[in-house]
Amino acid sequence: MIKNTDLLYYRGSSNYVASKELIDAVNIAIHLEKPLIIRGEPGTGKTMLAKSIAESLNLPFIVWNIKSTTKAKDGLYFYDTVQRLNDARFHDRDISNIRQYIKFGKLAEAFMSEKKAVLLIDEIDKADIEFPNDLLNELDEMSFYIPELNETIIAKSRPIVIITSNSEKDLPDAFLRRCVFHYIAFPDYELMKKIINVHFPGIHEKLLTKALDIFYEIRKIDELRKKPSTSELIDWIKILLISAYDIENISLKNLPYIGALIKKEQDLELFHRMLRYR
Amino acid sequence: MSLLAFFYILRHNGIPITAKEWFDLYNLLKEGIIKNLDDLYYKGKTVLVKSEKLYDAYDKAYIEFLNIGKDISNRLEEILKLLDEESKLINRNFKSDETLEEILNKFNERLKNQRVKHIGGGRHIGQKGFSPFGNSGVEREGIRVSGSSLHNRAFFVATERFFKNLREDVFLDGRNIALALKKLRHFQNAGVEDEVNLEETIDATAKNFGEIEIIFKKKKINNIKLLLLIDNGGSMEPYRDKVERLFSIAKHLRYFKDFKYFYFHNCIYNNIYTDTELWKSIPTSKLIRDFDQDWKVIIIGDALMAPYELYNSFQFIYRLEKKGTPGIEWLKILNKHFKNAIWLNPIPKIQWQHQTVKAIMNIFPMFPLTIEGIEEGIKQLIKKN
Repeated sequence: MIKNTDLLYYRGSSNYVASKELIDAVNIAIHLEKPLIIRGEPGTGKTMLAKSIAESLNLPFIVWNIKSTTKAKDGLYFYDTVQRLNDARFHDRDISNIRQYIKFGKLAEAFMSEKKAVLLIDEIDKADIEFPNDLLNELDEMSFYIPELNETIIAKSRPIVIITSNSEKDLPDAFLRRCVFHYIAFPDYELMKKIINVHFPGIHEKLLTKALDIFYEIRKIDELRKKPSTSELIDWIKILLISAYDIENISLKNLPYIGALIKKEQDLELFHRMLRYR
Repeated sequence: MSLLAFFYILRHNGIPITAKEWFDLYNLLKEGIIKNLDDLYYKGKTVLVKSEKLYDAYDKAYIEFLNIGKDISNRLEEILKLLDEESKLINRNFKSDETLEEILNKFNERLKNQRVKHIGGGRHIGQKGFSPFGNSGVEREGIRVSGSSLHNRAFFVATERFFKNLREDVFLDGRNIALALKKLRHFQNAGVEDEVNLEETIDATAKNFGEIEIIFKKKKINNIKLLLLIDNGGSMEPYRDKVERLFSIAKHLRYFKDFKYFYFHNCIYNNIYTDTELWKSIPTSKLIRDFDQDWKVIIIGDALMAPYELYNSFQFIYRLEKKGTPGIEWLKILNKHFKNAIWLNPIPKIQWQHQTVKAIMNIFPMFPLTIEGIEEGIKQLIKKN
């Protein structure tokens, strides 16, 4: 039997550099029809991955951004009772039609999509600690029940679910069991070179090497509260390119636009203190 | 030699895999997505390991798995053959009324209770089936625990608990800490009235003969303010991980109305520090002035020091501070000022014999820095005095 997932094979995309293991992990998630949890330091491209999957497979892309106040139910639907009450008063609409007062959330949107959708649940650990548990059933069965309509919404085609997490809080075991997992390691020197080349095609080799050397040198300082990540590096290179700074003069002791790389005041202090002792 | 050995090696190495993950792996093997040993390593990692913290343990387990047999090259073929037999076995074995899901649930339940510690003779796996692993029939229904070999009726061979689960170990789970801290709550209505009170709205509207009147209410928010005072002294070094975990969870819980923290060294004296390096400080008297009595205080420290460090008007050893109130007096002042304050001690309770520990226990209710201890302590914190 050919499953419809067999036809979907993610190979990465031109504007997103993915390692072979990451590509494998995505394809496993697609094949097993399980959500893929992506963890990794900030700036390792967790969020971009889902977008790249949707683009390269030409599937609709739905983003559910999680905030500290997000409840699992928000992803399903919202029954606007106040509107209905209001309509009852002014006789604007036929209030016996409850359907018009049901507003669907992002998860429901992904379930109801005609075409298989890619659903990104971004930063799941921002929500309350119980949040993942409240989603267990829906993610397992890819369906949910709306009592107001006496109807069950069943996914037409199980969406590809990508969940990003910053590992601030551990996710519950029962939730993890239903997912597959991949940790994006911080890009090594060579991979970072590729990434920078995607962002700045034709960047001068000398500038690239110098910037990367310094970048990885700074990342070696374990005491930093926030180490610079890919996005900081990209910003910094952008500034260097715009300002046409003389690369010969750049060194750890003479770092132009250091604020783009080290953002915390305490870290800056620490960095300068360390340089003095070198 | 079978793939199932891998299952046990993984659990032996502390990777909490369950039947659910195992079926995922089988699925990948069956569908030909795992074709060679490299695939087994990488793709297996995706479905079996759910935290980067366990990647290292996974590597170890994988190496161990490869080393238990001699001929590695034939392994995969062997595995695939076994897989086929095993899946037939599954179908044959579960004929009872229970669904596979139910059986798996039970199996998972059991595995949950059995945190892998030391599987005694676990090293023998792969020699002759699974004889070392609990061949002492545990449950009658569902997954049988077989003594002789894999090719019998049993699919999963459960291991017995060789060591009782020590509560001290459970402690490390960040989620447990977060759940324990969540109990620290006291909801109060606060802020502007911006939430519709549905029931009262219906009542009011009915009384109005259907003329709609919307009643708003204030949101309920947690009113707890948490103050952490952390001992950063040298003797605390072995517990740094534990303390940091608790700290970062409390910090990221975004659950409290307010959350503040300070550091001290051995004991609290005239000054209390705002940074771990103990560079910046505020006077302890200011702390008492600025933080009202409703703050819930958790002090984390080993309470171990030389007696004079507690009783004398002696100050922080490494920096010159003026002589002042002895540490023990400061502790009493703090305890008197705050309505609810507890002390969490990372040292196992059994070792709380030291003179200074006992003295401090007389001032603050002291609890061990374990999940149970935190839970007990939080009960104390939310008590109304």
